Amino acid sequence: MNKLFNFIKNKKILLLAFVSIVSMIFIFIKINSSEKVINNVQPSTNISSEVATFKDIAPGNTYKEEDINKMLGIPVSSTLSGEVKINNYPSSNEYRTNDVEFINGEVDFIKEVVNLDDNRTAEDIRKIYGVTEYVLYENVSDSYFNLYVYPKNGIAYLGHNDGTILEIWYFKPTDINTFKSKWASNYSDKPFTGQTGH
Amino acid sequence: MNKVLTDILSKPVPSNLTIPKVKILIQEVAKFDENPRMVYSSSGEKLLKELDKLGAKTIPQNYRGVLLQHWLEQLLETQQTITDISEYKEQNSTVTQGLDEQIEKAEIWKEKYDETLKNAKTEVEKARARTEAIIKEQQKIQGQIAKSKLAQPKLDNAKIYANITIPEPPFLDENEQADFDTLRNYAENNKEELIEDLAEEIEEKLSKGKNDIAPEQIKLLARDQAEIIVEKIQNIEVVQQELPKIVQLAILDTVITDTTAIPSVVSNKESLESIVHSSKILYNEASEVLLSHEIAENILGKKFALRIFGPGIEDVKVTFSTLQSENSVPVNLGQINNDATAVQERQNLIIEEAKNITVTEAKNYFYSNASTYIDAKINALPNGKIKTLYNKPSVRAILTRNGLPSYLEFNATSPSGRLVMKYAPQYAPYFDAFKQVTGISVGISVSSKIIPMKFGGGVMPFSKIVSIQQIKWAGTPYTYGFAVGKKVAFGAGKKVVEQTVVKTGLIATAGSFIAKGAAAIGVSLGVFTAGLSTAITAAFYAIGKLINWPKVKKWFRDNKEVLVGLTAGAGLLIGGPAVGGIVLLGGLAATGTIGAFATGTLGILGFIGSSIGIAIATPVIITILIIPPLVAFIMLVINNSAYVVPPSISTTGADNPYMLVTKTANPSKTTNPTNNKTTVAYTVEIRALKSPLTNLRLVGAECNVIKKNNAKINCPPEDIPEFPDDLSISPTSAYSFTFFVNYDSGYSDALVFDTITIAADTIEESNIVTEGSASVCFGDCPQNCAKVEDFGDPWPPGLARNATIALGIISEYQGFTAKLCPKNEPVNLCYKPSRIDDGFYAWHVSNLYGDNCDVYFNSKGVGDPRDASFIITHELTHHIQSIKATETVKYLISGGYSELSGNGFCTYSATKGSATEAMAEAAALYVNSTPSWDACAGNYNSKYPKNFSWAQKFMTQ
Repeated sequence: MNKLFNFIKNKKILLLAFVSIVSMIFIFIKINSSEKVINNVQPSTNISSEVATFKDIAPGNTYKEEDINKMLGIPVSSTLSGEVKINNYPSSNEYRTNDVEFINGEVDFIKEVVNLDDNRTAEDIRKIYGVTEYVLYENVSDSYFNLYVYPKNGIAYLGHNDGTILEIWYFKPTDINTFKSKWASNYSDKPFTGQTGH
Repeated sequence: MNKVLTDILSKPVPSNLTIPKVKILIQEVAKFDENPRMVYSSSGEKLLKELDKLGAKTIPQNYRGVLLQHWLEQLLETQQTITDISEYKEQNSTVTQGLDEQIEKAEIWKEKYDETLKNAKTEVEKARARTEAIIKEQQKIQGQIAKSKLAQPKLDNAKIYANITIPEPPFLDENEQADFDTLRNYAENNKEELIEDLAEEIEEKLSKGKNDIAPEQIKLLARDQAEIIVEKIQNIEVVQQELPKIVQLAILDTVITDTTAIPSVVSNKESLESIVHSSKILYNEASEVLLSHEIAENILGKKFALRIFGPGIEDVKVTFSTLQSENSVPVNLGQINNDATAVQERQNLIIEEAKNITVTEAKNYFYSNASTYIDAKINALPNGKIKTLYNKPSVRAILTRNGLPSYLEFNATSPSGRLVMKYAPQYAPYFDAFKQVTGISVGISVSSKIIPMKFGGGVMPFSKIVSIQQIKWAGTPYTYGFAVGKKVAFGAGKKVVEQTVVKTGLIATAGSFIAKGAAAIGVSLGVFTAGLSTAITAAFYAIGKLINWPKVKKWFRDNKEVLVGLTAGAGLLIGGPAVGGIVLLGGLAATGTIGAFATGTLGILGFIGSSIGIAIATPVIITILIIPPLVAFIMLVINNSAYVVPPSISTTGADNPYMLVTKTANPSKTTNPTNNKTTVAYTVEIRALKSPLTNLRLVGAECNVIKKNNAKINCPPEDIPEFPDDLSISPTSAYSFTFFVNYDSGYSDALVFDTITIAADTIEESNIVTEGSASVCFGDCPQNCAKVEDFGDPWPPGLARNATIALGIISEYQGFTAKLCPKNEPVNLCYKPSRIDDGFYAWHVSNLYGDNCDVYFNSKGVGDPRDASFIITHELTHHIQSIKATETVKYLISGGYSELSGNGFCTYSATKGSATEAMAEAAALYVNSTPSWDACAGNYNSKYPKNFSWAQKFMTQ
């Protein structure tokens, strides 16, 4: 035991160097492996199970309206219909509002508007959640924005083929059929081919 | 602090900075932070200089590490993006490649489409000329009917007696008989091989002849005739059934050519002419039976042809007598005349109906009759396999897809099926039909039942209108056996096929419409008889014209793995040839004939030369060669329905069914005028569409000029000639005149629209008014990528003019044009009211229906140029929405939509609740705030200020 103690005492610099090298190798491998994970990200698959939130507000949770107002500002308008209350909060554009729907105090649905100055595109969403298999088409003949839905992530966006986003919707994670019946009853799985306007 | 951070964030990453370099700098700066005295060292000084060079001079020392970190993050992000992109490209290289291929294909098809369109216009012109010829033909027929009816009383009791001599069967010597027996045995036991050999022989002979027949047509015709000949060899006893037809033809031939017997019973010259003419008509109707005989004689020799088909028309000797003898049969000349009159009346009726029906009615007529024809034709075929196939829903669907009245949908049941449904849904019926006969499934199934069509019966419009059996002038049944009669010298008869076809010109029966069509498309009738065989000839010829052979070949080449894989994997029982037999292929599939077929090494027609190939290919021939030609034939008729429809209706559109006015300018596009020397010749052509036009008068002449610089300018004076007082324009010939207009430099960069309005009277209606327009573009005249095109229905001239003027007006808005035409790709405006739901004026579809129409219009919104400028701007704004989404967002953030407060514009209720409709309306109101249907937005600027403000920017910037 004494021998060992003396060895450590005499060769402590050597030992320190050894430990340092091992640590560095470990760190190097760790960093390298984590980089590989990043590089393996497939743009066409859903890479995240993360539930989307709007400014840390997650639909399905109960919030005090005052707290929401603190986060989003004073509503520019508000409507109440039965148990459903919709507050319209200011966005980056004076003519468009972010809408939060409350049911019995619980945030049920959020519609965030995307303006040009926001510099957000569909790619920003796809980078996080991948490319969704659920694309819904509005049942009107002059609709050029489709609804891309990530039911398990609680997010959907109204986007154009060119990547422009009009709105982002946040909701409590669900399955696609529930989403369609609850939030997208005017949308279909196939492009609408009838005429509703000229 | 905020200012420093802002400054840091605004510093771009120096172009010469790399990730390793910035990492080193970060370490150095960190050292510097730990030991500020480094500033006095050479390494410290060097570092500071380097940082200054990189642009960090203005950043305080203690923030330079932050700056470097910011740069590093940006560089890493860029690198990640590059990695992502390259990975994406790598992963999607196939997709990209496919996309390129698709684009290339699209370009090729566009070229072909343009070429087709160009040819179509020429064809339409030809069709118009043919229509005129048909109308003349009708006049002839009507005259002939009158003559026939006049002659009928004198012919009613005119009867002569025909002495008929039919040669005995030719004597075959021992060797010949042995050969003939061998031939019969071969036909019994090796039918397909014999058909194949004969087909090759016939094809070779036909190919050597001077005719204008497509090789594909010759190949199929040869095959068709070879099958008939072999069938006859197998069933010589049928000769006896055919004999009466030949005898009757010989009688008709003799009526036509005998110059002694008939005159003795018919002394009146007109009656004599009538009976001769009637005989020619009936002969022409029945003479198709001779074709196979002639071919057999040519290929196998006279003796064998006689044994197989019995005597030919030239072998049967007919002499007439006014006295009845023991072996003579009575010939009722009045019955011949009467039957021929009936044929002619039907011809006349068809033409008369055709003259009065619209394009739609014409199409329906041909659809229904064509389906009946095909029913009858298929029903008459000897083999049950084809009939079975014909009744398959999939084959019905093929016909349906080409216009016949029944309905069917297909579902994909496998990945390969989905592939087909996604990329080539038009082939779904063919795949299903292919499955029906081969058992090979590519995963396409019928998803709904068709509406059954009437099968059999009815009129055979392209076949014999009056069959020879229906002509019962003698009332005595013919009972000739093969050996009855005396031997006569061969060649005693006369070939009158060509005489009847060429000399009489009686080509206006329903069947003869096809004869005319065949002639028009370049089919020589020299080797064919008229009637059904001509119809089939036309159909075969249509294959070459309407089926894209390279595309078909390419399709099989491209899909060889699918076909070979399917067949090799399944070891399938391939349905045998159309005429008997079943061939079990199984293992042959991968390397055998079907493999060769699939790879295209035998070619889509080349496989006909292979005995195994034909066995395999026959079902394929049925599905993709035989049925489509019939369909192609129908389409040929439909596409060329100007044969029977007043040409203008199907060509350039008409405001009314009586008169068409077309105006053309020459030149229609030229450089800017100088020194008052640019002269434009305007030619006005007036056509009567139904009946003669009289009392023609010039009602108006209007001219509009749109200049690029928006300057207002009037048109120069026009010296339009007056109509002659006694002018009458018949449907068979157009009237035209030309006048000249001089344009000076004031018309530089201008678009000139010139319209003439003419009135006339007809027997049916007086004061028919219609107009024709032409435009001239001088220099850089106002135009954009939107075009008025006839891809839908033909634009009525007045509406086309309004739309064209409107486009000139709209093109003045440069901001709008820039957004609409970023790549200068055409946006096609079509006239097709049937596409538009009630209550709407137009519909932006972005070529939804694959007809290259981006917007459909009806007449409601384009009644005048101002309205047209409104509705076209509205629709083109939808187009901009479809290609550039940010414009919609710009509209939303402009406050225009919120200004409407959910009420929409007063001019259009659909703008309530629809931002895209509101945006389109906002743009349209900027061009014309008072469309004729509602002037409520006349004070646009004050009523909808935000929308006006947005529209101003949208249209001009």
